[in-house]
Amino acid sequence: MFKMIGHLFSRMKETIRIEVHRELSAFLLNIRSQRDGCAAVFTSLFLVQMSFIGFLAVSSSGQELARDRFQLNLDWREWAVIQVTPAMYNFENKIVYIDPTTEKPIHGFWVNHHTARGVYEVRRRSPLAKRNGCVQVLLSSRYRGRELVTLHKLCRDQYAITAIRIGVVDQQGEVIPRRK
Amino acid sequence: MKVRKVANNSVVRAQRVWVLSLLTGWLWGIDAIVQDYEFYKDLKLHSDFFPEVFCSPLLAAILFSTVIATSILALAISDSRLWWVNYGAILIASLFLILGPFGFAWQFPITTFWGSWLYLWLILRRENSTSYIDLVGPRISLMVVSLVFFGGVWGKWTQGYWSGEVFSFLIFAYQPEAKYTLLRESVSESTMSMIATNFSRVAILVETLLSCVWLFPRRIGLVFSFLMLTGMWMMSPIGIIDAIGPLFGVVLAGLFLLPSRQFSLGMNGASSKRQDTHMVD
Repeated sequence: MFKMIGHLFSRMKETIRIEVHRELSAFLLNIRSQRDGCAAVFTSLFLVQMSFIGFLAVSSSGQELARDRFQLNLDWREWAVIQVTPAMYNFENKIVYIDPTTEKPIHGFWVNHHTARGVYEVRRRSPLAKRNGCVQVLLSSRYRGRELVTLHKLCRDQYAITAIRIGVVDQQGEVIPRRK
Repeated sequence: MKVRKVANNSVVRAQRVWVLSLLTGWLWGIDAIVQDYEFYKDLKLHSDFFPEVFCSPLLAAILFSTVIATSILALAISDSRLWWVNYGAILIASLFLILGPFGFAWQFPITTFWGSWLYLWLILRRENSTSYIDLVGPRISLMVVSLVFFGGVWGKWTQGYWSGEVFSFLIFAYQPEAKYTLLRESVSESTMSMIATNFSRVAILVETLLSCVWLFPRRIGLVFSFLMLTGMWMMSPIGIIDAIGPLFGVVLAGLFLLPSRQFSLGMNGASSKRQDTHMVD
């Protein structure tokens, strides 16, 4: 009985393998023969993005780049290049709002990705949604033991909201100011 | 020889279903844009990161509205020029949101941006033979789904997600929706934690499989993606439709492009049994 199921399973696996191989070859050959520029560009972009994501998953510098992306710890132009890469629910991310006068936490919570939303989504969960003043925002992202913590300053008055990146917080809790 | 070109019917259906799904997702997100606009209308946003042009809530609202308006028109009128206008609006608005302070953390501009590749391909290839459309369109759909979920799942292969800790907070502990409130009221904390752990692990496994659908046979891949997206929508907060709406559209468009029964895979698109492009002398 088990032998028969095993045989059927391996037959099915082989059929699917051949079918997929046939379909993928036909896909690539047709794109080429029809001179389908759009499909060719998309396929190339797809392969580049998949490789890039795969690289992020296995390389420590890639992981650091992704954490920097979530915390806006890059130059905008560098950030913009990798911002189109999909990242639905990524890393272990936390936001903590700190009262700058007492330096005590006001509140903190997990977010699914893009910790910098703690700075820019002011009207949602920020203490400045309904009042003027300043708060410090501590963002942390962790991925397989690698952690990045950055500190930001958010101020609101009757005319404007100002968001400033202060710097990276090191393991001793010291803030390394961001280079201008 | 004079060539009269007729848009392929399956392409028109696929285009409509994608635009309709996109519209559902974007209409779901309209609340966020309106509230941002209300919040920022008397305040200026100064950022030391984002360029000033991206810090305009008015521009965000205008681009958003343009996508909604052109999508409604593209649904109502099947005209290739209108499709181009709609595609242009979608591309510009998505990129503006992805790269600016108002939408950089939202998921729907990203899923829209990648889904719009299928739309662009449909516009460019609307007059191709059905056999070519059948073969390439559904594969592009599967590639879009794979890419989005590959991007999503690699960041979840962490201890926090595997243990359920992150999802426990993000979904089960505080979500105000009725299904989660009911769950919180009816089960103990330890059971809730167990549910969160299992939910998290199933989510990771499903997303891993979805990230591989580009290697599946087209029909199996598309049906599997559709079922998983539906399951994901039912189990997650209902608002996730803004992110997965454009993906639903991509999958449904792929299904509409498939032939009603499998034809043999002809190379060079030459074995079409349903030729919709007419060559007339």
